[in-house]
Amino acid sequence: MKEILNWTEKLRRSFEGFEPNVKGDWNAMERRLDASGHSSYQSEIVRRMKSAQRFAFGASAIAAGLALWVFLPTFNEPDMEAIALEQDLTNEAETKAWSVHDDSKERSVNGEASGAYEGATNQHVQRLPLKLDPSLIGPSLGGTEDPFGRDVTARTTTTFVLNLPEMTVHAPRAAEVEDSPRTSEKEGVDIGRNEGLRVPAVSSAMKEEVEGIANSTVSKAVDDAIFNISAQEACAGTEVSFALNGMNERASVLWNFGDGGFSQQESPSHIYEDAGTYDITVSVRAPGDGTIRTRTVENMIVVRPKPEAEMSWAFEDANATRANVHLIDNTLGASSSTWIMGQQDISSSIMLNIPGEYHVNLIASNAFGCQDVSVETIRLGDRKEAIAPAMFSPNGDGRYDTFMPQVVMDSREDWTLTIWDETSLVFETSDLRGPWDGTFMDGQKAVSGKSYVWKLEMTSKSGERYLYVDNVFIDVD
Amino acid sequence: MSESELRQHIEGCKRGDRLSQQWVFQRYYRLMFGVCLRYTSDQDRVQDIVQEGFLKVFSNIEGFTSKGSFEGWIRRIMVNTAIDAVRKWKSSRLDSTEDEQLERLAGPEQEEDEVLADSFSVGEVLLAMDQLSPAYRAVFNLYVFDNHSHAEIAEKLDISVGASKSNLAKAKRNIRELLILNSRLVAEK
Repeated sequence: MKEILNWTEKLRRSFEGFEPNVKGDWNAMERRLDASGHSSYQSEIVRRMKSAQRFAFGASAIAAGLALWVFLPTFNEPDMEAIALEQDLTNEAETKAWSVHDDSKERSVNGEASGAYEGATNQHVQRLPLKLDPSLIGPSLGGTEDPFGRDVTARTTTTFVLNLPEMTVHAPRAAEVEDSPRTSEKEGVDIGRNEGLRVPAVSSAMKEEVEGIANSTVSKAVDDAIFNISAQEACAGTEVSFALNGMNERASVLWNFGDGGFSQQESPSHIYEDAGTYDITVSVRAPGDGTIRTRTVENMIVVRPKPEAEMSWAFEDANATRANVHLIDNTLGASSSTWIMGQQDISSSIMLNIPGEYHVNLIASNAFGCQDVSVETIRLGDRKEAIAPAMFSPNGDGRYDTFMPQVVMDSREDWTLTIWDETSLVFETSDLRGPWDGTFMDGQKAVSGKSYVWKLEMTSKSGERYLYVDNVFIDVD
Repeated sequence: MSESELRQHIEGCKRGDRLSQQWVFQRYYRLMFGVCLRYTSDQDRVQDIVQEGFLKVFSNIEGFTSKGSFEGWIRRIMVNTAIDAVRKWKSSRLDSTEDEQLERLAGPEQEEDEVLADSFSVGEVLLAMDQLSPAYRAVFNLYVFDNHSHAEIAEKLDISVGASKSNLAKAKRNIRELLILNSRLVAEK
């Protein structure tokens, strides 16, 4: 306990006198005070003019700068002036780094590799935009094939891509940075709320200016537009992929998926088991320098519940060659469901030949488009599989006096044997000690020389359900 | 800053003097930003929280008696505001997966001195806290940095005292693992 106190005490000390390099936006504060009915000594008009002026400067300088201030000095002491400059660069050059973008764009960016960012973003300003690929997101039909040749759509894939343009480190040239008018000019600018997050694209003149001094930036600029991302959807129980883009060297990564899952893989996959809204956090250690960036996007991914597909089946009737099977949908929380056998949609009532093994899929979808599949195998057997005689002689001579398929020895407790005279049930047993001796339930005797249909419904020790159906011939002579 | 200057501005704030309010705002803004930053890493949100907090400071300034520390008083308001703003732990699922996974990643527990540095930078600690679940983060912050008792935490977060204690224990362990993991990230080439 003493040890723990010691290190948490160290943590405490690390925060002593911690004052991040930010400036409070007094104008915004004043507006709020005014709105809340606090008296002002300042002329309303003057105040309004001032704030309008300030507003025009609205930019994400502090937000971006703070992120650097906080995270950069973590492991190596950067030049603070360089960071101040960098925040300007980020500020000016960045458009919207965390963007949901369409597939074609994604391809082109990936295709052109490192040079692709030059247009909208300054190549010297590196950042860690996390990109979402919406084409891979959401409850679209995924690629899992079922064993019967038809795509089963229970799994979807969602990919989050973290883009890491090359992370070259330039040595800071402090003097030049200090002289930079941009740095000082920007320093006093307060942020209007949120407006700063959508920073206009860099103008060409500004870009030149930025490039002129860009060599003095220390590693990557940090991007704050990422916090603006809207939630993306995935289905519970489906695999969500995360990817890092543009890592030339091996960087070290720690992903926090927000549901208690972590990964140190570059491009991990994660399955969210439960519906909910999750924050994603990525920490990346740049190769070259020792700095770690962490990005958290709150409520980044909304995991929708999936239905729990559940089916059962029952035999409606059967003769020795065909059984009519009724499929029962026991799914909770589904808005629609489909039965599939082989590659075909089927109705919930099907005729199946005996013997045979039939795989039936129930695909259930809910309002979110999340799907689940339940697969059941319907096993239909004849007397060979049931190990049952084709005939017996219930005449009390001690030989072949009773009828009982031997497969029930391999059963769990529940099995039912029924004997049918045409369509009427004449005998039923679930007891090994009570085999059929040719007597009907009403006391009549089975007629010699006649065939009766028997059905055995059974669950095997391993839980598989069977229906055996066949004829048995009565021969008492 | 002299005591009398501070007292003068506090009195000014009580009269609703804009200049005194501005003085207090600018005097404590950075410090309070640092306090709130521990509760959420979203800087926009921190900015909102700090402003909201100052709004409460100025509206309730009458309630400040000169006996206590003014900074401590403001700080308490800020912490409460931050807690209100990031009321998230309720929806955030806390299960043992996070703990187990971190343990697995960080490897078996080692001797304290071997793995933990002598001192930590603010960045290191904030980084680890960013990686922590919100519920753990809140308890850890309140207890370790903002001097709350478990009873106070329980009341503030609307959880049981037992939950506060167990969350703190887990938060401590996880922060520790994260500090180790992160330092390893740094050490790896």
